[in-house]
Amino acid sequence: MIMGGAAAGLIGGFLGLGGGIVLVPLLTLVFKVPMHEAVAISLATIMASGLVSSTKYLEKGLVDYRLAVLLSIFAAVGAVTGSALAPLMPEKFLQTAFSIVLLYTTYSILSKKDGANTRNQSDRPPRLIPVALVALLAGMVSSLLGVGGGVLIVPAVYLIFNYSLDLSRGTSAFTIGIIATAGSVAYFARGALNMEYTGQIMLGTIAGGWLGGWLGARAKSRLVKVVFSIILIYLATRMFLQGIS
Amino acid sequence: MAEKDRYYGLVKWQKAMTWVIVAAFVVSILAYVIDRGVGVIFYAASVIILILSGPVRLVWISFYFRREGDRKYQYYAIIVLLIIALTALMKVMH
Repeated sequence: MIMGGAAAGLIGGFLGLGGGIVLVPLLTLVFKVPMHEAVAISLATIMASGLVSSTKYLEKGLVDYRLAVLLSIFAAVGAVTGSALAPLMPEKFLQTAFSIVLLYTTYSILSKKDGANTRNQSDRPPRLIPVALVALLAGMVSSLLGVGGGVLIVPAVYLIFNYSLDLSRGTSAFTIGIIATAGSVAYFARGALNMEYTGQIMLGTIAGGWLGGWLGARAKSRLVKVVFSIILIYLATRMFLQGIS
Repeated sequence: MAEKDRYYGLVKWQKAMTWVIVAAFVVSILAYVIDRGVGVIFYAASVIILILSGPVRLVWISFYFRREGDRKYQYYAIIVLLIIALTALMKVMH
């Protein structure tokens, strides 16, 4: 379980994601932890991996605070809206449609060339309304389809707002570590957080998040693109299969 | 001054918080090995420290924006704090 936490932290920290994409299937399929417990544990570990890995990105100047604050506001509102709309939405159709969007996103990430006009952290953040729309949508989709926010925030910041992939991942790692707080408080307060599993996983996640953040802040953009694309293709395939089943 | 240098204070904060959290979980694991019941209480205390790290960072960011004279983003950071508190409250009550 500690190794599982380390793997989740490593991949999450490297790509600016939470690591839930690794941890939730691992806990439910290998350790037979019920889904709601796995999600609660995953949220708590996202806070830890987000904190640790974003420190490494901060050291390299790869976090845009202003954008992170804006994303946090609207992604949190989007997540609440998404959970309220969930009973009204055709889940299977959304899964199938989203899997196609993810494949297109993968293609866009791989084919995008980082030019001289790439935005950096000393620039003013993008205008409020586009950020609000993107973050609201990311929060809603994240909540409706049960995917982590980072898997949507990183491509959105990279492709739509034209940040470098490094700055996109650093900002995402910082943002998701903060957004995960609300859900974690709720699970903790309701006593739904399995302390024994969380405690065992946490040290692995912190170590993995530290290493992932360290590697991620230094990795070549091409390598990150390939690893990120593999994760997106895996997620798209899983969603497509769930959608048509 | 480079943006990286200006927010260096937060790097030190985050590093300190990380070490506190690591120490808390190491102590919890040791306590768990000695006595399972006590260990679970220590785990809960460690998770509380971890949860507090999110709001602490937001408070720091709001001070950072204030120092920069960026009142608008200072208020945005406070709004994030309020949204997190409200969302958590809604989820607990639901």
